[in-house]
Amino acid sequence: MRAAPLGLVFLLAGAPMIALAGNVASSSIAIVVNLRSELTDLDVEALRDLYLRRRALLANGKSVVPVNLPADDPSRLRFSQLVLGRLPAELSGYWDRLYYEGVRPPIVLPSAEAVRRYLHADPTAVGYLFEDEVNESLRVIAVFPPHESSADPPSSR
Amino acid sequence: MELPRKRRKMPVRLASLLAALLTMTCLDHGMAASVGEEDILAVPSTSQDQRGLELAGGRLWVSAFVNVAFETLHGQPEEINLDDTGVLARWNICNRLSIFTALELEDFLGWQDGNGVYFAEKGPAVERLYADMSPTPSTTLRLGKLLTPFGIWNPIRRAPLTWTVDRPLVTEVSFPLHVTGLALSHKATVGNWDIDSDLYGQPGGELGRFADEKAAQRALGGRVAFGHQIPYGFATTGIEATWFKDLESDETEYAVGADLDLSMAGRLLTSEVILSDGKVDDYETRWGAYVQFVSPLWSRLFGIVRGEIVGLRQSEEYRNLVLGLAWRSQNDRWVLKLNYQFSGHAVDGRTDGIGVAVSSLF
Repeated sequence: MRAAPLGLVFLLAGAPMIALAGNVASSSIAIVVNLRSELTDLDVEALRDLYLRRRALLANGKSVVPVNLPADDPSRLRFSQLVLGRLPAELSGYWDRLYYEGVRPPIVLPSAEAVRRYLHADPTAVGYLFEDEVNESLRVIAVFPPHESSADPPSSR
Repeated sequence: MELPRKRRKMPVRLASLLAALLTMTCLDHGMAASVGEEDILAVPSTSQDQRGLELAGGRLWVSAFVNVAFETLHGQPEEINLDDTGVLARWNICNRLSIFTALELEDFLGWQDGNGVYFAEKGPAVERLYADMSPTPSTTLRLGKLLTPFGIWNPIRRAPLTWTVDRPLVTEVSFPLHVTGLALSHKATVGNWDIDSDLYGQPGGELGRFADEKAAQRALGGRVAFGHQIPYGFATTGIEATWFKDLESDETEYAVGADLDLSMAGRLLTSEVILSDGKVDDYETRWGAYVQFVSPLWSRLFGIVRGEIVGLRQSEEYRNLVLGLAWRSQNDRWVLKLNYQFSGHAVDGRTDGIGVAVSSLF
């Protein structure tokens, strides 16, 4: 029997990653901040730069603390795909490189409730939740509707 | 004995400069603050997302890396050593200013067939030591000793971050691997494009030079890289150039390069092409390139294929094919690598043989 070409073996091995990318939840994602936050809106580029630690400051020199949910959380998968253009697992090498410069990824909170409590306490933080998980203790500054691609701008609030 | 007046003033000037930078960059915008609320549940919950140790309310971060490698190459004694081992630390003084250092033990402990056990002859070396200042959110001014931002491999280089036991020859012999001086880095995001640029200069000798590394007396260089999302992945391509006065040869040399870093559906393609007039062993290099492909095979097991070629002025081309396997632990902290390389002829001690390494970034 002829052995399968090496390229075919490699191609099949990556199939689960492609399937995962297609199965990410498609609910609206809300970008949320503390009610006292100075942030009024953030475009996709600014969000991506903050969450990828390409920048940590706003134009006025104030710092922003982005918060994440666990890597397998549906809202993080959706946010990561929409804003960062890559799933958390695909960013593993990226973060390894930044760790090596002493730059850490955003802090990870265990649940939507933890994100609400953190944002409620920290006026410099920004986070994301499914829209139906947002309560009155937070302010929504942008929403990514279902099925939106990262090329489309989010709607501002 | 009294020091010459000029030298005696240097520490004072340096301290004054650092104090001025601290004043300008920190006091105007406040020191880094932590939230400190007891009800905040800042619990790292995923393995990939947190490494190292946070101290001083998160302002100080400390981590460590370790690598144990075994190589049995044709015509060379078998050797196992603890190398690429050290600590990383970053101190965020304020929003706009931080200090970073990487201290490394070279050939800390090892055993070589015929020569027995050996230990490091000197203490930790300063692999990197610099201050990062952010005059604007997208611009960083870096002052100190840093890894030369040339290509893909040199800035990552550390064993836990790479997929093979040895780095491609062309990334080691074409340009100075470190810069001691000033670097200006700018990160722009235009639409879906990431545009990163670096400009750097080294006015004098290198701080704490590593014994066997290519180093410069003076250097000037730059790099521009473009990143963009692609279907199921991300692609980055860069171009770079550097001119430098080589420390050993005392001659002015150059290196220009282009690189590609492609990740797609879990697979990685990395390539660099470099034109240079550098020297390695008794050879002069003219150009070199490598292409590396990494793909998941099963679960946390990856397959690696890398081909490299270096054009030499006095000899036939150096060719090397590396076939390898790498296993990464579930939390990505441990990497086990197994390589076999087929070398055309020996350059820089590289011949056919097996390499095995275990690496970690804690």
